[in-house]
Amino acid sequence: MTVQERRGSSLGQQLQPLIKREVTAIAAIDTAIAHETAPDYVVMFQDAKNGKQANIEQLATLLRMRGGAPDEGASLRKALTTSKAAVASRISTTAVLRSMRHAEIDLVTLYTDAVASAEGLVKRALTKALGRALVQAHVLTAHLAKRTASQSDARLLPLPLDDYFVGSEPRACMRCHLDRPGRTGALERNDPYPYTYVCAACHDEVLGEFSVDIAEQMERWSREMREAKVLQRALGRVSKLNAIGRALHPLSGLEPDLPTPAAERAVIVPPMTRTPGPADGERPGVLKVETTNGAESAYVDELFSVRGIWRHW
Amino acid sequence: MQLVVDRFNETLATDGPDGVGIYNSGQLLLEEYYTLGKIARAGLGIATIDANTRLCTATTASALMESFGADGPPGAFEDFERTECIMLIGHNAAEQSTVLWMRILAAKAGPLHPKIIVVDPRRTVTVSSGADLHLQLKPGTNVALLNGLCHLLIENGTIDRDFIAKHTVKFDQFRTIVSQYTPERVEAICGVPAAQLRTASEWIGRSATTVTTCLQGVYQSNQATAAACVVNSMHLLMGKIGRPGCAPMQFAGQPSSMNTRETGADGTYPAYRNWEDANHMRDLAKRWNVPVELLGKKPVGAPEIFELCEKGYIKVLWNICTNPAVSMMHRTTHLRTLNGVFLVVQDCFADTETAQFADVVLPSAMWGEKTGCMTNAERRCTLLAKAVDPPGEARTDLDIFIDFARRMNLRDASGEWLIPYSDPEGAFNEWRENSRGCIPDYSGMTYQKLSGGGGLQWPCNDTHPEGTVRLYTDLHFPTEWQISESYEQDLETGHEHTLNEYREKRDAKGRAVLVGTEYQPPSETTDDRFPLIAVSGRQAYHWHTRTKTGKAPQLDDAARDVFVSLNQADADSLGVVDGDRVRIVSRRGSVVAPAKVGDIVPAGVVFVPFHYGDLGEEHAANNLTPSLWDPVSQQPVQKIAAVRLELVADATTRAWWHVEASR
Repeated sequence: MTVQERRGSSLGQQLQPLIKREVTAIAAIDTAIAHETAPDYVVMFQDAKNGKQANIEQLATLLRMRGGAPDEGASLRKALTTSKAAVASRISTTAVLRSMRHAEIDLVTLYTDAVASAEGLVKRALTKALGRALVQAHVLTAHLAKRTASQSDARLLPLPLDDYFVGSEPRACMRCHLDRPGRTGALERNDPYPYTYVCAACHDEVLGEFSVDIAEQMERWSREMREAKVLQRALGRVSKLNAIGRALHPLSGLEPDLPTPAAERAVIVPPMTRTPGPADGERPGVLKVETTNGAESAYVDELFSVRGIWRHW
Repeated sequence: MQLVVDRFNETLATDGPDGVGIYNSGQLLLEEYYTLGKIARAGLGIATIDANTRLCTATTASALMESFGADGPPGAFEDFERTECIMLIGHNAAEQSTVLWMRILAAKAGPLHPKIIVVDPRRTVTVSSGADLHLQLKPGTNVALLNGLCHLLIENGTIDRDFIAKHTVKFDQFRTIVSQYTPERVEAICGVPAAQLRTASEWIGRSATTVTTCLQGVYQSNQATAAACVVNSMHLLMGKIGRPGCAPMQFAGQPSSMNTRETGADGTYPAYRNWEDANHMRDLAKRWNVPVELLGKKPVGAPEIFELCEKGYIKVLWNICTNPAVSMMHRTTHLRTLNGVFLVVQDCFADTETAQFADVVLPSAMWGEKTGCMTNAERRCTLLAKAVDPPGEARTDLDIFIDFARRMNLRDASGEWLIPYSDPEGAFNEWRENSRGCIPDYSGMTYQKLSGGGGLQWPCNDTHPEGTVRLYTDLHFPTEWQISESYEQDLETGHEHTLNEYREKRDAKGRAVLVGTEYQPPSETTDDRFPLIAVSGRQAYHWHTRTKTGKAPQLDDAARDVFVSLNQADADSLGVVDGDRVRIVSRRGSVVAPAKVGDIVPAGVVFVPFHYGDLGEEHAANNLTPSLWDPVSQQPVQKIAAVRLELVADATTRAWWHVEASR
């Protein structure tokens, strides 16, 4: 066994249980998605799955970098958890959320321990994954507090429950997965459209994401058009990542986490040179195309006599 | 290559899949797309992979999914020779599809004498060389015009009620919408005389057969997917699909863009699998021997990939065989972006504008230097054989992908290489098995069969060993939830139904959907500061950003530099004469170009070709275009930018066409 393989093996012992847990959690989420009838919760579950896939990919990369091969396959735990998820999803969405939170808290514990013993690149990777797990745990806790009016759950949140949910009913904004208060009001679309819901806070935040050239034209748009554009943007990947870093991190007791824009990382403005054209003396050539009738001939003549086609520009 | 691998690894480890992106092409080979898509989804686990087909053919796929349940052009090129009426919408075929245009002209001289209707804001060479009727509409008003045509077809009774009843859904809703679009209202919105609209509807409706094509005048314009869907609906109204001479030909703008859509190198999953369908993902995971839990991510389109770069989420971008430094909308923003990411450029030319931002350039082989397949807009797959070795250190794109996958240590669930093959034929054989039983079924094709000449059209399988000329001849459409490629998206927001919503409320159960929608004015608006609309487009002599054609003497000679076409009336009001240098200014940037004054564009509209993009010279049309894209297809709106013209003080330089003309 090489040194690299030994390192990979040691790291594997640390990371492999995390990978297994995340894969198991995804399997349970997939089961929940299949049974969930509320579209806003389906989107919330899909995004939760997305976060877990990201964690797995980070962990798997760490193993691959050291010559190891992540084992992302089936396990008894996965089979059991999937069965439990199927049962929970038949009982209620609340049961599913409770089951998901249970799994997430386990992951938070494991990630916290792993971060404590890691360093360098591995520590950075695990810290990012821990952040996702913490956010997910807080979102789930907020939902449970809202759905069950549980004071003990509400006390687990770093901010008052009203900062997470503004309405009387628990709903999952399709951008931030909560139902936060805001100035402009929530956006909702129903049949004949796919059910779509974006909370008031996200509505405000998304309005601020449009570039200046677009924002200055918004006043001329109809209300319906403006709202459709906000929904379009809110459900995109960029806006969802903004919501996680800007809103969900503070609501999970974490610092905001937004990357440095590319333009600020740019260090050199490259000198651009014109794409070289043909050298003198290389032009022009003669091409012939066979035609079968007058219209074709006229067209080809025009196309190949350059100055003919200019008339059409 | 090791530097590339190290940066990918480091970023994937610290940032996860959102930290890296892949932007590829419509000009690679099928085997390369399939391999790249598999690396991205099953190896790297990323959703941030897309192709420049997002700028060209994405709307084709979206519209076909919305109307028929799945991508896949229904018709064949031979339908042009078997039809009585051809309508080209936003498709300047005489400059963009020169071979096809000759075929159309030959058909026009043939026994069926098809009427040719051209819908375009410009009086192009297509109009002057072959059109019987030119509907010169205002930019961005396609949906209103098409709704008006459908209204007249219904009013005239030139629809197939039996077909509609048996093979479509939503006729009542569709009729309610289009009934509001009287010829007079359409004239008010589009500027097309009511009489011309009536003539067009008569020709289309009274013809026994009709072929309609769409290209970038639809796909890069306002309400792109909606407009393309109404074209599909128009054919469904008349039952003109699935038989000779009848097809909505939703076109592809690049040689192998069909393959990106089929194999999953763009936003979709391979073989038209639906990312939301757990059974589709299980099937794919089984064929790839990877855990299903890692699949099923919502795709992220190119406009969002570039914004993820801009905002700093994506830190490593692998750019393959495309030149976004010229072609991407709102270009000035993206130039800063490209300078701030770790940029890998894989291209056969090292002097592209994008390559000048690269941290690493991977030289690649080009057409004629490698073997592989391309599939065209009639689903015809053709095998291209390598003729010569690539020069210098250049390697085939497939070799580069396989090397990357091995160095990344990407493996399947059994610990075997994720990419087990080492040559194009091995890749093709895995792909054809991957597609077996799916809509784009290649299982009946082999390199040996494809070596026989003119290629084969999919589906090609045990049932159709010689391929299939046209789809939907049995008038059954793949809209059932079990096979549908998507669950019907909201045309205004792009949001998609969940499986349960679709199954309970939307499943058309094998019928096609008569997709109807109201016209909405463009988001980019004119005002006192920006009173004109700029449309961008191609010229006959250049391909995209001139990475190749700019080096061909005859082509460079024919169209050597940018210009702006404007109407005589606008020129007069601005005091501009032909050849004057003007600055075209939008809310985002500007272009300086000589003015070409005439009557090709209507008053209020200017045209700028998009091929030119050298930095520092303000030649790129995409300096003007907005960061707007279609909600469903995510195709950028590159045909509508509000602008003004300013006469450049030193306007004495003669325009290039004056110089050329005096030679």
